Amino acid sequence: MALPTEAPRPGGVIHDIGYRPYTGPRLDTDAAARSLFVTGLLNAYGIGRSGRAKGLPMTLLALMVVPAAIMVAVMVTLRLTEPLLNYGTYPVTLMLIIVIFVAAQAPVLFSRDLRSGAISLYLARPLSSTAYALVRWASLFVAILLFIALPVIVLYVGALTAEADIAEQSRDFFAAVVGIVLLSAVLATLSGLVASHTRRRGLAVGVTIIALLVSTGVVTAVQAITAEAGNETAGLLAGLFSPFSLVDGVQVELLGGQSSFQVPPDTTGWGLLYLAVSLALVAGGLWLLVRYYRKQAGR
Amino acid sequence: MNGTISRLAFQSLFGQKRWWVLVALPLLLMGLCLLVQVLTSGDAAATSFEPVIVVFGLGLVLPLVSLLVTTGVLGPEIDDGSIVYLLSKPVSRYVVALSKLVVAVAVTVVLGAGSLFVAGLILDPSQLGQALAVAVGAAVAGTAYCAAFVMLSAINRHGMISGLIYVLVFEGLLASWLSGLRFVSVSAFGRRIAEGLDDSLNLVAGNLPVTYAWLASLVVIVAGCYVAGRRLSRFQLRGDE
Amino acid sequence: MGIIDTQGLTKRYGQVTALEGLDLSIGEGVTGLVGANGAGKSTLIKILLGLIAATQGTAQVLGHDIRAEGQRIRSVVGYMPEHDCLPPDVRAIDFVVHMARMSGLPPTAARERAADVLRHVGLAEERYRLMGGYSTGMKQRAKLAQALAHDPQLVFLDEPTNGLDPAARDDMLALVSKIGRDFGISVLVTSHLLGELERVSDHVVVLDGGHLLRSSATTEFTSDTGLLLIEVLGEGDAQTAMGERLAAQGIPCRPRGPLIEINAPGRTDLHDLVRDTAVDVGVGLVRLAADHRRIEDVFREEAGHGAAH
Repeated sequence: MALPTEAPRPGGVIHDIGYRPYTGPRLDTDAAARSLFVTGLLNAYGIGRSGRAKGLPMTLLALMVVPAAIMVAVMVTLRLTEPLLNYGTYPVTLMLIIVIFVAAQAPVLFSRDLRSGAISLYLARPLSSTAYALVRWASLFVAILLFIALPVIVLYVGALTAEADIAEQSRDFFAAVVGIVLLSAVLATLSGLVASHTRRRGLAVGVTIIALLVSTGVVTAVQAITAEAGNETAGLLAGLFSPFSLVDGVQVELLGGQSSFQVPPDTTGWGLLYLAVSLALVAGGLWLLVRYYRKQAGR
Repeated sequence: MNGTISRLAFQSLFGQKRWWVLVALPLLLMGLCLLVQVLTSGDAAATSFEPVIVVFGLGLVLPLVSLLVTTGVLGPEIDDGSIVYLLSKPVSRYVVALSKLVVAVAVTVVLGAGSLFVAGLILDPSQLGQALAVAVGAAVAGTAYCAAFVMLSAINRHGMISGLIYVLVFEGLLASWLSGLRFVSVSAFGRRIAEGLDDSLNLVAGNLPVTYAWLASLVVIVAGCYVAGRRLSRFQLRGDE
Repeated sequence: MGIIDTQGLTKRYGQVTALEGLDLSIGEGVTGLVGANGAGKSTLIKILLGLIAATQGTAQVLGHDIRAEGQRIRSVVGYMPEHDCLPPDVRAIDFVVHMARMSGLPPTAARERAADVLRHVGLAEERYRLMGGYSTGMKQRAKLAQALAHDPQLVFLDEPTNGLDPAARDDMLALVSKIGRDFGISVLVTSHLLGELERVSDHVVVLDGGHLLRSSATTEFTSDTGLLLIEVLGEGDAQTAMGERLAAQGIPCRPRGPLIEINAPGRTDLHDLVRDTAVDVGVGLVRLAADHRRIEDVFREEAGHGAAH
């Protein structure tokens, strides 16, 4: 092993240091997982890679928050005591923007490493493939959560500033937040599965957007038709087939929120079914993801 | 028109992962119609026509199928560079582009217009004329969509995303607010053409002359072929990326 | 106990056998893992890293069992894969820092070591560029850097000279040698170019079709054969003239390609004799060298089938 050489000379010191072995602390896999989580979360908003990546997510975030900010401004100016927008229905109103964000950023966390082959380098490190998949999911989950929750928080803070009834607003707000957490989990799972299996970013974006919008569109159409025909059960069953209607259903029945869909569940039984399906979707999706990444180790 | 290129394009299309979605969309449309028939005991043809056939079928399924097919027939080869094998053959670039487009159009018409025809019949088996008119309008619109999406992916690197923006934002949101946009909306052309063929149809195409709809579609189709050929003839292989 | 020990390691994919009953013992220093494409080199590395599970058999890396202590192994081992694995839109320095942190280094240490290691592999100035714009040589160096960033005790280098031009190949081999000798890190380097590893490794393991053909020190592979090789240059058929004159003097020799192979191990005056004969015949003596074996001979001798690839 080479050793440091060279006595100090007048005018400057030149060291040929050679290779120095590392004798410092080595952290455990939890630290690596935390580092991966934070990097993933930042990457989901375009921070930390090439500059152009920030444009889309930040624009979308602005599009989410601006309407809420405007509403708050209107509330305060006109001294209203009831917010104009409902916390629970805000996400469904801005569904298109949420869907674009989810579709566009899931590939950043799931397709990129698979496409470039960097996954081999990750899996050759102490972090297991299971941990890798779960941490990536967690980054996407938190990214989506912040994306949807931020405008709702703005609305809430604005309502408090405008001196609306704190108890009532807080109750509605926390109910909505629980719904948003569930929605983020479902969206992260679905988009993560699509992105890791398609790998090509364009296709992943397209398929995710199509799947989310078409499913919601179909649910709305079926609910409209069956409502007219008086067949409520069919409408309720249909509501299980889109993440937005699914979470909306949980929120309405179990948390007392307001529904954006035509046929929300109206009994606890249905509400619990909606909740069970949501959780099963997340659990099942995670299991599939972990299984997929474990297979990648051998490539 | 090169038969081999077309055949290869067709085979590669159904070898890709996207064919799941490609086939799922028309099936979903027809399944939805079946479901509606079952749930409403055959009664709701009139009320369900607009949401299912017009909004979902013509407005979503047709353009999405066309987008998936068009980006699938050209995109992946350009992405991974294997287009170079085709371009180094003694076949005119326009012929290459045309051969691929023909496949895209054929699949779009069969899957898109075909499923719309079947869907219309499922909803109301007595209205054959209507279903046919819708199918023809969809076929023309589908062809124009393919051409339009080729042009979009020639202009920028994100063919799929710009196509989605066109369908969802431009034709979806904006066109319903700004009725003037119907003059440049492929969806409007298709609907107007269908209306022109069967007077009993009302597809919310607004005030658009039928001849304009036909002509504009033709212009889009020709322009699309030309642009696709030009894009290939100016294709430069990017080096070690 | 060596750096790597395997006992009866077997890997089968359905009907295809990638590795069959491998019994290896690899020590410190630079070890070359040689074999044709498909001989099982990459499979062996992936099994040792715990990326795939062996069908049968056991193995230990740095004393840790691959099945029970896979995580432990991966924290002290570096891996440079053969395939592309660098994201094109990240800078080399950022990527190596990130990978070092993923290997358990604290943030500050990761940044220092990343810069250090990139300097050692020769990417000091280019480290702020996006890796998408790198040439093949630079990419290989970057791959090597991420394998070394966390100061592993052992590195697996899978075909590090793949795709490199001859000059870059020499540089890479010199780097590999430096890692093994100066940095004090044990190296397992694979190649399908047989002669390349003779220069760099202390020990060579030869695989063929998943089987171990031979595992010995490089010097044994490249030992002297006791033969003398000469090359002559002149008008007419210099080789034949020289050969016939040598034979006339009772020296057993025969042509080998453009050279003459002399099999007279006992004669101490052989070199002078050759020189004098060349003068007599009137040809120029271009080369006079002791013949030594090459690794590809192993394939011909011990495999008994076909020539080396």
